[in-house]
Amino acid sequence: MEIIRYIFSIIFLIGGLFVFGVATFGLFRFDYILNRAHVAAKCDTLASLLITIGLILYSGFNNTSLKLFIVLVFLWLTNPVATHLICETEVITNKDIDKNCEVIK
Amino acid sequence: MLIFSMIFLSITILFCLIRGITGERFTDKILSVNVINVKVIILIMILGVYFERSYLIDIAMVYAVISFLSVVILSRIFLRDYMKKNTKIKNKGGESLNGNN
Repeated sequence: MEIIRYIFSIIFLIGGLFVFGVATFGLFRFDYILNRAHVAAKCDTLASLLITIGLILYSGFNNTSLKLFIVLVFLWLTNPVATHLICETEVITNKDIDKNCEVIK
Repeated sequence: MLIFSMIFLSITILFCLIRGITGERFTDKILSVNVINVKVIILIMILGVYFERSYLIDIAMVYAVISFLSVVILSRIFLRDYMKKNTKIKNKGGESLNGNN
């Protein structure tokens, strides 16, 4: 039973690290800032979900896993708001945004 | 496995730092700061599970609050300065605005 739990936790951790690596790769590869913001938002939500599930499975179900869950809920509440604020600032302040992508105003 | 994930996260943090330094616009820099903050929060969480110290996860929670605050304040300050500059250009007299206040 313990071995099955460890195996699942390692699978989830590897998935989260894969998403982090892909997000870092995308920050270099994409040309426009809104595409990069999209990739960064994926890194904020999906990778934190996968790694937190992996850590909860690794540490067992106790006080630590409850705190990990609370941190995950806080990250999910705040990080999309932060990314939305950054994109709003970019769309308002960049005058050449219509050249790169179509913005509905 | 936890040690490997911590090393991997540190390497990706370094690459994000390079991207933030070489970014051409300020939103690039704020975006990379946001990504680095998330990675550091995850790093502190993994460290807390590895050392079996439960208070490190409380530290991660405080770090999450401070990182959200920093990103919001940076973007809001720049947006407010930009709006102030634009309205000054648009109505150069500016008498009516000051009169109302």
